[in-house]
Amino acid sequence: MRATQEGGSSRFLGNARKLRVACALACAVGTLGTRASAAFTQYDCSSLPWGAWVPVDLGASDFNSAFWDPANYGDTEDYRWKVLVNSNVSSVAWYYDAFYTEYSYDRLILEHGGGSSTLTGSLGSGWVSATTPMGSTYQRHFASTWHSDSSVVGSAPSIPRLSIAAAYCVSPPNATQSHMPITVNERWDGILLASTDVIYTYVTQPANTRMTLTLDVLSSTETNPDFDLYASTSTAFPDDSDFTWRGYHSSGSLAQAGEALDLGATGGSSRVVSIGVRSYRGNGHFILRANAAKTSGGARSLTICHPGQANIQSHANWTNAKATISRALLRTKAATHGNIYFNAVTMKYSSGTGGDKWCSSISGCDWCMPHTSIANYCGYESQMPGRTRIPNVTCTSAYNDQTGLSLIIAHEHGHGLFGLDDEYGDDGAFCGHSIMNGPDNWTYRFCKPISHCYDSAPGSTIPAWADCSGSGSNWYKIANSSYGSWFYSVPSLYAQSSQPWERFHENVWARDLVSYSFQ
Amino acid sequence: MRRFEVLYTIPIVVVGCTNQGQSDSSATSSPKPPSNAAPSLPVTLVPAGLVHGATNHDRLGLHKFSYAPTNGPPAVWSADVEKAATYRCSQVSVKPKVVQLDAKGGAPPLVELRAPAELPADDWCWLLVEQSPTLRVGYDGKSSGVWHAHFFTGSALRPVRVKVSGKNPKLVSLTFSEPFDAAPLIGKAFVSPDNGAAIKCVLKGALCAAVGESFFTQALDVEMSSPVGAVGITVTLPGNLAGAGRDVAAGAAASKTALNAGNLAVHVASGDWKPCEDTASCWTHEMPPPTP
Repeated sequence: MRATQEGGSSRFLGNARKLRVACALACAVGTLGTRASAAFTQYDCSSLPWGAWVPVDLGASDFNSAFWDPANYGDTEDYRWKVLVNSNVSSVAWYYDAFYTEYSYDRLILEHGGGSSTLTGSLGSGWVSATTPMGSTYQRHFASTWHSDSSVVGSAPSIPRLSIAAAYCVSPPNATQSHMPITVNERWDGILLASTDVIYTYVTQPANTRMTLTLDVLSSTETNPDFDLYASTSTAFPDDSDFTWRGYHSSGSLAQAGEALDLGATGGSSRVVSIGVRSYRGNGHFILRANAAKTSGGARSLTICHPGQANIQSHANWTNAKATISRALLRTKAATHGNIYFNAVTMKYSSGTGGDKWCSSISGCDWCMPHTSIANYCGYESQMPGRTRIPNVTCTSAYNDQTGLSLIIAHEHGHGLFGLDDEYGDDGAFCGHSIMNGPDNWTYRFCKPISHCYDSAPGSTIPAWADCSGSGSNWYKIANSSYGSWFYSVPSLYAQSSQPWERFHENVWARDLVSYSFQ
Repeated sequence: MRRFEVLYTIPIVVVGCTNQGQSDSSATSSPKPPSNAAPSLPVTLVPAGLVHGATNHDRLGLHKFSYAPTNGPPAVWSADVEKAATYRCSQVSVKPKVVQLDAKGGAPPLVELRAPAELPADDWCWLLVEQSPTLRVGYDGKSSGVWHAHFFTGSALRPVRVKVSGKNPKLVSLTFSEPFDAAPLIGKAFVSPDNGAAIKCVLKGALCAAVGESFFTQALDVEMSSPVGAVGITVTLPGNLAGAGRDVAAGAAASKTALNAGNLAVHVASGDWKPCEDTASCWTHEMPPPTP
């Protein structure tokens, strides 16, 4: 059985302790270098004359598509990714397919060791060939920026992106390296070339934060890729014989291919955590994040009242309801760039009806599953801020749509948790970049001033009550209110789009970090 | 506060929407004025990747649409869509099935309207959707009546969209009905604006494509020697230009499209331009559906 593990198994713990002593000084502060000996060795693709081909997903596909065509990229985006590769990689050729953008104004820029390549206009399908990675052998990486302006798209339907990376390796191979550190509450992408490939890096967990490491796998040639996650406070190269935490679940799908680890909280001091991302099976493109939630305000619990529904965990629909709730909480975490982490849910039963749709006669509720005697008990709604009501557990059709309903609940949570206003009027959504817009176009982020009220639903108008100034945007409101104190880090409000992290809610192991108790 | 309240237990699109603007029953205040007018929330299908006049089109139709999460799962409303939709060709008319597609890569979930059997080969066909207060298609402002899109079930390469924009005043952007290798067009005067502007080059990305260079694409940006604007423009494709399945002349014959001296010429008159994409002007191939 493969699973999440803390502190190592009894079989491994002895070795781990010995190694920790041996490298206490060398490793404890994240000192980098080549590994002297360890179980995991980065993959060498030098014997592959055509390179190691890995499906990737880098570009406009991470953002909202156009409101008027889900097969076209959306306007007003600007974001830069960092993409890690192992230190054997000497060059990468990148494939694009059906690439059509507005010439000059909308572009995908690939930064590499030789400078940068800009893709814009009508390109059809083809390759950006032989790009060397940036950085020394300690820092092999690429960077990619997607930029679209506020009007006009390409001449044919297109979600411009790089979809294949063909990697070539040096010979002889380099010793396995640890990369530059990743930064907290930001997205770091990486590519594993094949089974057994590994990328090491490290992060500093700030004082007074609870940290989760999350690994989402976006693409692979395998139908059941399986990436594992290792972390350590004592060695720069954690592996199966030396780790403080590891996630090594089995996988049968992309949603199961990643991992998630809760590293717990720091006290008044920060600590360095070394990280290993390793492929147990298959190649692929991943997102690694070190999410820091302030222990005061950021790491939170939630109480859901469900009057009249005793033993809710035994209800036939509970599995779907639980998964939907967990997905919604992950969506809140993604929308807040990892700052808000709901890790414990208490399901609170009481007899009676709860009084109304808000469970007003029950104390201590954050959310309410209204009693079946309440009108529209399968609906959803929220106070601003205050309680959120979600469908009663018996609402089978609603909970069968985990993806859609979790997004709607996350929208309601935006009202209930932060008091954010709606961003749609009687004739449609007027902010195309905000989960508070319905969500009518499946957008999942909080908007920033730079995109607030842009790219609305065609034909919609901005209501008189709407605040479309920069200070009316979601992130501005959060950052400049008391809620801002809950956040370890608030992104720059006037640079870059909100971080794209849509598929996090699909990560089943991240969902499993949310614990449930029943009262 | 969120005003959508959905009773999924009733097998109709969306019922019991309490409306956008419903005041909240709690003591908290909403900055939005309460409104008790309660228009029902229609299922809005948004066409995905639609190219009006596409050729070499899949014979099962397979038009794709997204929907809003607040519409609920397709199982709730697919029967209504199937009732409202029709694939109509010259001799056949069939009702499609709604098939839910797996969401890929974070993209919005899609449904596909799939014909029960292959539509006739080499035939012009239409997808027709009767809109209603509970079902609308797209955001073109026509939320009532019949929405339609046309396509041809064989290869018949032609330009189906021409776009000019003040942001790139020297560019004429062309969309074609099917992907093809544009190499034979590079270096040729196949775009002729009435204002006399000449072709500087065909852009492949940010650079001029080289003569003879293979360029597999469904769209071309043509850089002219001087600004164009919304003047009359003629696009001419040689009859021997290869499309996805046959050359232009053979495609024109199959699709009953007239040639001019062996070439396919499309003239966009100055009065044919319509505003599109905020700041651009477009001409789009149109073909009204036949009456049943």
